[in-house]
Amino acid sequence: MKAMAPVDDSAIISFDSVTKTYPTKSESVNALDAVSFKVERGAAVAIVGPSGSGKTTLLNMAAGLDFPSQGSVRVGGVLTSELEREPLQKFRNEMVGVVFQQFFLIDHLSVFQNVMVPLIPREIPSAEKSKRILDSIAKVGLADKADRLPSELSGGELQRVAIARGLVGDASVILADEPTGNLDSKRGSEIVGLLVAESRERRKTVLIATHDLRVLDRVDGVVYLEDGRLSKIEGRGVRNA
Amino acid sequence: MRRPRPLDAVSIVFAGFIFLVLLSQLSAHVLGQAVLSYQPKGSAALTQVQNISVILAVSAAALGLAFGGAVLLITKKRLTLEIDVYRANGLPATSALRLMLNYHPVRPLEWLVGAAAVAAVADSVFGLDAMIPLYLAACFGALLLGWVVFLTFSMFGRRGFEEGRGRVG
Repeated sequence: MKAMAPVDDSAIISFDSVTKTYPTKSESVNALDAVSFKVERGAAVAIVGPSGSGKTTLLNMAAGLDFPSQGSVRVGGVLTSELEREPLQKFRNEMVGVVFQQFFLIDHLSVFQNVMVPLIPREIPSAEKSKRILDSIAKVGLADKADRLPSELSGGELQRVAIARGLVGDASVILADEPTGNLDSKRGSEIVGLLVAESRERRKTVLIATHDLRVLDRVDGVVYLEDGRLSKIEGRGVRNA
Repeated sequence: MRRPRPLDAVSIVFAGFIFLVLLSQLSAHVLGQAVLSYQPKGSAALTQVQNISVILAVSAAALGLAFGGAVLLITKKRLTLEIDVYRANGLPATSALRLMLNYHPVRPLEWLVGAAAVAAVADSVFGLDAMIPLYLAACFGALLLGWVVFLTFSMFGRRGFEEGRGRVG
């Protein structure tokens, strides 16, 4: 891992003995089992593990999209499981920017309209909103495709639109789930570069769930998961809780 | 080319049934006129034709509502995915509902206006009682609106995204 910009000592994301259990018809499955670690502000950290190791569940918890069965998740000092509906919406809208594994773009909306979604509840003048949306689209290299529909874009372009939407809200924490999945190495490298640049240049905390080992050379720290358990922590910007 | 939105197809199905009902009433009206021209005193036959016409129209309307409801269920997956995107990005339920109504052919209810216009024209030209297609259009409108409102608020009633998405990876 490369030593890049220094990271703050203060932890912005904290997982404390997080266990997540999903009931099935015959038994309960532990997606996460007593996982504890802290991510420091401004760090770019990869969460690595095979399929089914709990990476997505962990990211969803940091995003306030899912909640632990036991233990606690704090993001920016906020205990996500204790948030009521409105503060939770505000948290999802302002604190975290999420890049989903399957993009989750709305297929009948243009690139511009898709990227606009996180800004809809914000009380920002519409000219300022438009500028931020276009800046965000330009940042991912799709300035000339703002009025296209998702069906007119390639897989790599869809991923970049998803990233533009994750960045447009200027959230403190960016969470990306398998951002290089299904992309060739060149496109994958560009995508990771975009995300890591947010950490280096804008002091955003970036958490990337991946099984792509090429990502590890670009981030500050790595969290290894195996069968829902934390197996190892490496590098900077992340430490045991 | 704009990709069809999920409720576009539903609107077409609804409009089809409205015109089917209108057509059945129109046919009965023409048949009734023909009966009267051959049998000037055939009011009993005319009444019978009109009664059958109403039964057929109501049956077609009921079939349309049942079929339309089934077609609506097919749109559930795509609509809930869209609502989930709004929810995951921290939009309040009211904003999400406003977007759903803006982005889908629910608020304009183009088909309802179209069907109402055609029914009104048919009514004035042929002296036809076109209220059944209009009632049907109103029912379809209520069904569409109710479906979008129900899906939006039921999705927003869930706290997390645990059912499904959290299990991957």
